[in-house]
Amino acid sequence: MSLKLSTSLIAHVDMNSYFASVEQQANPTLRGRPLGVCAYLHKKGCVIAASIEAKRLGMKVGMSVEEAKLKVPSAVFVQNDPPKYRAVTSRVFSILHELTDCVEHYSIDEAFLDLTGWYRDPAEAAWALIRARWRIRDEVGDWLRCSIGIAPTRFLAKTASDLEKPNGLVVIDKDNLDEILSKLDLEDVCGIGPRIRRRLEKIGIRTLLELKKYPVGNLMRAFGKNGFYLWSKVNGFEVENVTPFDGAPAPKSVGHSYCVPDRVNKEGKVLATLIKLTERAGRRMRALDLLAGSIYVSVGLRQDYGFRSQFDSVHDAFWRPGAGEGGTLYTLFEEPASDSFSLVGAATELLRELWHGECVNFLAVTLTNLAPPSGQRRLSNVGARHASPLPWDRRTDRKRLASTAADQIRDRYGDEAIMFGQMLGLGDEAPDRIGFRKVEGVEIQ
Amino acid sequence: MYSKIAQTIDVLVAFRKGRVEPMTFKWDGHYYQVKKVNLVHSERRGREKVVIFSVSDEANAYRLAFSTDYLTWKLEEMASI
Repeated sequence: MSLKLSTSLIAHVDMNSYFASVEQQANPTLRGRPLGVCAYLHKKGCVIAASIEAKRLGMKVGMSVEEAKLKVPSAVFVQNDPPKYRAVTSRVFSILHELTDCVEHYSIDEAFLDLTGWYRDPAEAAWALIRARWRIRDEVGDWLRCSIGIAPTRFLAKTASDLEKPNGLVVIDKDNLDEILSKLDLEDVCGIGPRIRRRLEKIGIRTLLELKKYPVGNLMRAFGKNGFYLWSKVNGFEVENVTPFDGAPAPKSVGHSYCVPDRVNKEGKVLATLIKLTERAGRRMRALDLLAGSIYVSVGLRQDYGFRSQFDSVHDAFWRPGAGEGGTLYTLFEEPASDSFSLVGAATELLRELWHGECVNFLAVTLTNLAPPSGQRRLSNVGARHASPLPWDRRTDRKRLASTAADQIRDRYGDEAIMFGQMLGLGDEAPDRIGFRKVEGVEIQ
Repeated sequence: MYSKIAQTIDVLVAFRKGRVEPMTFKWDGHYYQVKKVNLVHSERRGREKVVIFSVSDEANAYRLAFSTDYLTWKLEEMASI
């Protein structure tokens, strides 16, 4: 890696109060009012986005609906609508793709653009991005606003876009870098949280300017290679390039979670909900043509209920903070698997160990150790072939083919067109959810 | 805030400036004049593609859904001020 001041031209576009703005765009009666977009419209549901008006009154992302109502009594709450946000993101990103060939879909509402070679200087890039902002307003929605940051590196571009919200445009270059860093707190930049801050303060770094001027060798002794990255970032050296959206690495895990309402417990649908979450995760993983090496199941229990479990040598366990709140178990597959039957079977086994009829308030399934099919089998399974009533290949093939056929039916007739018998009557529980860092389903036109 | 309706409606649309815009729709025997198309997005329901028009008049906001497979319109939701 060569250590020279970056001469690239990087832009970061961040849609402001995104989910809330999209809801206000679709429904003008919500405009100008404090609005919270929630994962669930339940008092314990989490606010995942707050409108600019709600933020001004003190509503914060992560509050429960109950807390948010206390803080902003005049607020209106709506449940999130993932297809709407994905569709709007597709249209916004399509406009950004007309500016350059290298656009990184960083999250559902953020993108990095490598404009190097496409525009002569930051001023020309700024003008192009302002025109893109006009197009977003005219072609997608007049209530949508975005902040733009332009800088020689990804880190500084993101820092720039965070400086003026909403609808700001900030350029950072070598001339104003020190001035901007001097106005910011350590935690104002991406990558420094309370823990890193404490460690930086321990070695006498209290501001970003002090971090910039600190001897890099000393920083590396304290933080390892991360010390070098931190130092490079504030000094304007590029350590991470913009990754085009089609060159993004495969995910390391695929999962789904659900805050389980009381009615699911009362109606005895805990297992059905877990199966639905597993099916949803499995389907996404199969669409990526990956196999899972292991599966994790997490169960959160109501605090007034105890937690009992027995662990054997096959399974390992670790506790979520606070005894009696639940736990997580994982199991490794003998062979990496992607078919519904193996995944649901393993998840059900883990649930059986974690849960004994207590009141559940949280369920999560995560598929990890993802890898593309190698076509190679374990030696132990080659041996097992003769002991089994069906040859190993045929057994796994039948499961895989059945899962693929079920996916094709779902592609054609919808997600609920075919399901495990235990899922019958589950209705709208565990619906589609959206994560800020998830850009699956965003299509460029 | 939103009320679920999910009823088939009659819609008069205009094709202009390269777009489709609902102009008027008839629901439950009444005609509603669309003042503004606020947002257009599409959803996949299986293979079926449904185009959602979030529109409003002076009193309410409506969510109109056009099925591209069945060529039918539905009033899915309504929100009052």
